[in-house]
Amino acid sequence: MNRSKWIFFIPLLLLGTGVFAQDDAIGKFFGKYVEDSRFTVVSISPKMFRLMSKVNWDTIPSDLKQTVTRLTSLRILSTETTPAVFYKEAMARIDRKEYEELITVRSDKDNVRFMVKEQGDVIHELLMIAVDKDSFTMMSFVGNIDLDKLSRLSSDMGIKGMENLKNIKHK
Amino acid sequence: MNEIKRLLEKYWLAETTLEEEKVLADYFRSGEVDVELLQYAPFFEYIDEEKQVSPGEDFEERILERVGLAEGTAQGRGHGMDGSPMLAPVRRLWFGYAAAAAVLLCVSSLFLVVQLSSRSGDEVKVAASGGVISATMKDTYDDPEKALEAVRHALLVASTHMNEGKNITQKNMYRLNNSWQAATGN
Repeated sequence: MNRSKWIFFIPLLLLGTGVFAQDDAIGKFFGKYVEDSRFTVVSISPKMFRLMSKVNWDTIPSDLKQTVTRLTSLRILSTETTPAVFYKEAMARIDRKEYEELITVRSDKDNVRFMVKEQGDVIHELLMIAVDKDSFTMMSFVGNIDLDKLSRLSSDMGIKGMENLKNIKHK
Repeated sequence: MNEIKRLLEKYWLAETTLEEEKVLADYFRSGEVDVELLQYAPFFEYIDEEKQVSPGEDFEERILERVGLAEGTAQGRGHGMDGSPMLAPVRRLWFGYAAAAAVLLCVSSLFLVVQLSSRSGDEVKVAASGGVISATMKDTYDDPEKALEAVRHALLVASTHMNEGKNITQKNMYRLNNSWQAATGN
């Protein structure tokens, strides 16, 4: 009788770990800092992404348009407080089984990593983690992400895009 | 007398009705049996006796005990030693299947939830599918146009950094190539 009772607990345990694992992925690094005043947070929900379809797209290049319409959400988290510490923490916390490292760019000034979460052949999430001596930034794009298109965006925009870059970092 | 004989003939052929059988039984029970038919008397006595047999009062209890289900019988399960209760292992097997089915159901429903949520773009559901950043989604912008502008910036930042990586790789390749040429004198 005892053994059969235990068998009934197994599904409960499984269910429990499932729920925790999800909780973890969500709250792993970000849940804690979303409400933290040291962090600047930008979030754009799936609902807002749907609303964007009503915006006038005439001035928007088609590559950009295609990329944006395939996204479902975006979140940016950045801080100017102890960037190196937060960077280290983020790298330690991210589950490497889930997020595969794609590109690492390390220069004398900054350090940028791209990680992707794949579902089958589709990149479901692109995570960028960037740190320099002044700031630490994380960006997460969720949706169906085409890396080729994404990398082409900046060359299409040219120098003008690079100028805008400076602004967003300190927004 | 002849009537009884006729009924007996019929009885052996199993063609008697219930009433006729009762007549026969009554006849043999009466004690005034013809000598010719006396040989059949024990048979009908036996049938009469057998009708009296019924399960005793503790019949159910005894059966349950044998099967190992009786409440409060300490040896309930112990009976397995004499090999009597084949039922107990069967029952355990059944529990195993039930548990397996329950596990399967839980796991598959979990998958289903995750799958469904990653397909549709609802806020709550996205939270379940768990992008790293998704705790609770509070929109920063109310205006879709501003939101789009922000997305555009973010994409540009990502794209630029990505190309930075490419450029560095390219630069390093050139450098490698140059030193290779220097070393080989080509």
